[in-house]
Amino acid sequence: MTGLTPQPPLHQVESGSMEEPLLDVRDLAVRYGSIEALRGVSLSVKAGEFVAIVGPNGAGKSTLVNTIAGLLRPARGTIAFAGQQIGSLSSARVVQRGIAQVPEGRQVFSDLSVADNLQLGAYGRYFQSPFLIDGYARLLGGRRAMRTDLDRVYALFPKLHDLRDRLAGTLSGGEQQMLALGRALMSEARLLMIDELSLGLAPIIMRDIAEHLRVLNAEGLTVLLVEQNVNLAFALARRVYVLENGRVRAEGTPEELRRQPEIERVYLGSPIAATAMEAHSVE
Amino acid sequence: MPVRRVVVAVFMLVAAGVVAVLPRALTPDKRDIVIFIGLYTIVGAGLTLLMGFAGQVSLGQGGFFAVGAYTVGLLTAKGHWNPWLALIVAPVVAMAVGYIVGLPLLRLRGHHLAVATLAFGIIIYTLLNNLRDLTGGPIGLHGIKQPTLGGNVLSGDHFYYFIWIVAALSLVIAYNIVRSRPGRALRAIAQHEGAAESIGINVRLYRLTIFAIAATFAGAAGGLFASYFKFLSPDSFTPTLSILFLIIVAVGGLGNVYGALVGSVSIVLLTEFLKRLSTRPDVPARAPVVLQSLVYAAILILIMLFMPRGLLPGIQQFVAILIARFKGKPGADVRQNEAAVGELADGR
Amino acid sequence: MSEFGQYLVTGIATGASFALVALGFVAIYRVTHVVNFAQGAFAMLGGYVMSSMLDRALPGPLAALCAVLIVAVVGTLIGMIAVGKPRLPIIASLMITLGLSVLIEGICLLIWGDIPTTYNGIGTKALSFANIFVLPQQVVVVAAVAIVFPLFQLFFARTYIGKAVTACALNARAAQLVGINPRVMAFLAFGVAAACGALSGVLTTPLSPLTSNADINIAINGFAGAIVGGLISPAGAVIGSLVLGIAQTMMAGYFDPSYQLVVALLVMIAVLIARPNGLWRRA
Ligand SMILES: Nc1ncnc2c1ncn2[C@@H]1O[C@H](COP(=O)(O)OP(=O)(O)O)[C@@H](O)[C@H]1O
Ligand SMILES: [Mg+2]
Repeated sequence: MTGLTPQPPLHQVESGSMEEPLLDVRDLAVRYGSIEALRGVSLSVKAGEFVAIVGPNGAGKSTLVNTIAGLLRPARGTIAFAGQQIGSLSSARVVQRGIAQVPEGRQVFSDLSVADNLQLGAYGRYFQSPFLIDGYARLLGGRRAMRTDLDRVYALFPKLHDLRDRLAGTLSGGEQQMLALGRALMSEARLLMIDELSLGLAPIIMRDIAEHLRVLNAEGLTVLLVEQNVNLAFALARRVYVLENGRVRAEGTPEELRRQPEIERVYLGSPIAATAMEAHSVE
Repeated sequence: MPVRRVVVAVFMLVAAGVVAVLPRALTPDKRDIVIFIGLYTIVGAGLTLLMGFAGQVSLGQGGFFAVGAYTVGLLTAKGHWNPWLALIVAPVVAMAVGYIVGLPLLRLRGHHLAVATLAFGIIIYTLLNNLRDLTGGPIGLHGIKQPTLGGNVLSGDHFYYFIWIVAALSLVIAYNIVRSRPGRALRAIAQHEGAAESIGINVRLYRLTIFAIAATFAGAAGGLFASYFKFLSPDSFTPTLSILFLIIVAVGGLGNVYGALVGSVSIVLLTEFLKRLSTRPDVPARAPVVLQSLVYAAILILIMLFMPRGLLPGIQQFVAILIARFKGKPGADVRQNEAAVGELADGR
Repeated sequence: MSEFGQYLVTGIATGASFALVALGFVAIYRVTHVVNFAQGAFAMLGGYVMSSMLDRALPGPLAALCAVLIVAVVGTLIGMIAVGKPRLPIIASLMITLGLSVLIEGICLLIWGDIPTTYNGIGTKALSFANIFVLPQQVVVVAAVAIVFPLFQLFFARTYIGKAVTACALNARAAQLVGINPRVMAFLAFGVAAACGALSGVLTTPLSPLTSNADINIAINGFAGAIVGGLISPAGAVIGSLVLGIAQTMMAGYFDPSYQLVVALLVMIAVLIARPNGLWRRA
């Protein structure tokens, strides 16, 4: 019940051998009507790992994360989390299993206060049935746990504590990203998925938030990061998937990928290419 | 597609044949039933255009029907006009009202338009009740004159044919509107308003025109209604009538104008059947109304839940799925994720 | 002058009964974006159930409580039918609520017949101050709004579950990502809306007897009030309803009572067209 305590040993023991991944996506295909956004993506994330997904705009990165989160239904393929199939679960159930997401563009609840946003992050832990009554009982019982978790998020992001009574919609981009991160952490997730961490953030703020993420991962949180800023992704992640056109184009450690000429040229290459890439990626 | 067109043509021919020989087999009160089918087909054809091809929902067609009816009623009973002329003027007046009302109303979309058109229908109903000096109020309007042909008043059977000719005409007109260039533009509007705008379609004008055309059809049917029954009272034009028209279109389906015919036949016959079922000395007098409400409601709800494209297309689709299953094809759900999960309410 | 005062006071009471219905529209629209055509049916049902409860010799307050609770359950069920099915277009939901209101009309006619139904309210002797007469029941209706409106606001702004509903209204996707099930929130909204509607019916039936087709007028008056707040602002809905009630009473007093409903309809259409998002959007 303690939300943000370091958990690595526990989970690594629990999941048995180091071989079995926490998240295991196999041959995933997702369509929007007749548009095929994912065409057979396989990916795995081990407990405690920091994995990044990079790729151009429209590659299907958000689709992948949203499907794992239960917002979209796969047309084919399987998603296993901690050894159990979650491909057909509702997003609410997925959250309860321990997957949290920081959605693309933050998506904080703009007309609610910062504190309310954070507290709602824990919703899935308390309200697990549609009948709400049992949720309320659990909520009343879990008042203290909620308080502790809130304090942990405030300890991590002291800024949020100062802003706790402000409406979330009035926060700056960086503050909103912190809030979205904090909200996701409140769910006591074992896997944190972040869609476009750096989108629209000033470099200093981006670095600050990235540093927080590194610390969280070091404390045992498993992270799956979707990122268009390849340099950032390579700096943070231990393993990277390159997604293109709904398929995994390449996979490996940042070092391995740097050695592949194709990847090097398209994603890291000359500064000019990198700028072109970034210009291209502005949404 | 030619097979399909042949099917439609055969269907229409059979329908025409049935309509043509029916009067010989029918007593006058049964003839009234078939007349109602004809009238509702006319209204339904217009509403199908509006809903199926322009993507607009109107809950006010009963209002336009009333406008047409009272135009004929007032012009012949009080203005002593030639009934033929009045019958021609009725749809024109309805069209004018359609344009005038549509001009502000069509700034609204979806459910807002539905509510506003419902309001229009209720306003008309209230006016019919309250403008006693003009409409006779709840007592009704008597003395409506029927058209004459060669010195004789149009007989019941002749009137019957007349109405069905108009019904057939309205289906043909609606069909041609759908197939015309503006018609195809309308479909584009129903699907993607922005896209239509960007390829240079004047969306507002098309929307307004189709709204007025639907009103015209309803007005024409209303005029015929007044002329055939020779008596009008506001109770024939309650908001429920508009809901009935909606149900007719929902049953017939939005994809084809001839769905209006199918919808009218089904609903009018069903109404008649329910009336017979529940009008017996041993049941309370309110039984027919209760039964009708329950059945109409059930139809509307079930169609919206399970066959949003209409009953007929829904059955077609169901059969197609069955056949696909039978042949062992998985029957892929192409609509997957079409409206992603946020469809319930995607914030602002 | 006392005539004016009289109309004003009566108008406020009339508007207060609209306000309860209008709050119901707001509760549902905020979460589902569906205009609930069955909102008037909730009020009608509330009045009828109350009359039956009183016939069974239940004491007034208990009967009222039963009526409100029963209709709240019915409302939740209606919500399940109207918005429970995944991927149902909003316009289909709207038609379903229309169908359901016809259904409820039929059922009311079946059970309670076509003779106007009424019962005694709280005292029938009018109170008078300075030549202005007020029925105690009118005072009760106004008091009910004065109590329900703040409760309504508190529920959505202060309680955890109310904040979850608000979050869902603000951003359904983000709400899903913290484990909130928008459908459950929608059912809850229908329940709340039905309770508000039922209360209006319970309290106003002594002032104007019910017939089985009363729901459409009730719905229109409530909707016209709610549209002033853009269907999302509870305060706007209450203000709109009061203004509408006063306008209608003045209209009836100084001109012709048979055009009361037309006033509501014209106000509604005018606001819809001029300000589809309402005149008063503050929450
Ligand atoms: N709601 C949607 N409806 C239809 N197509 C979509 C939708 N969302 C994304 N797509 C399409 O799916 C593909 C992948 O999109 P997305 O997953 O958002 O890519 P990324 O996050 O990598 O930029 C794109 O071609 C995009 O146009
Ligand atoms: Mg994306």
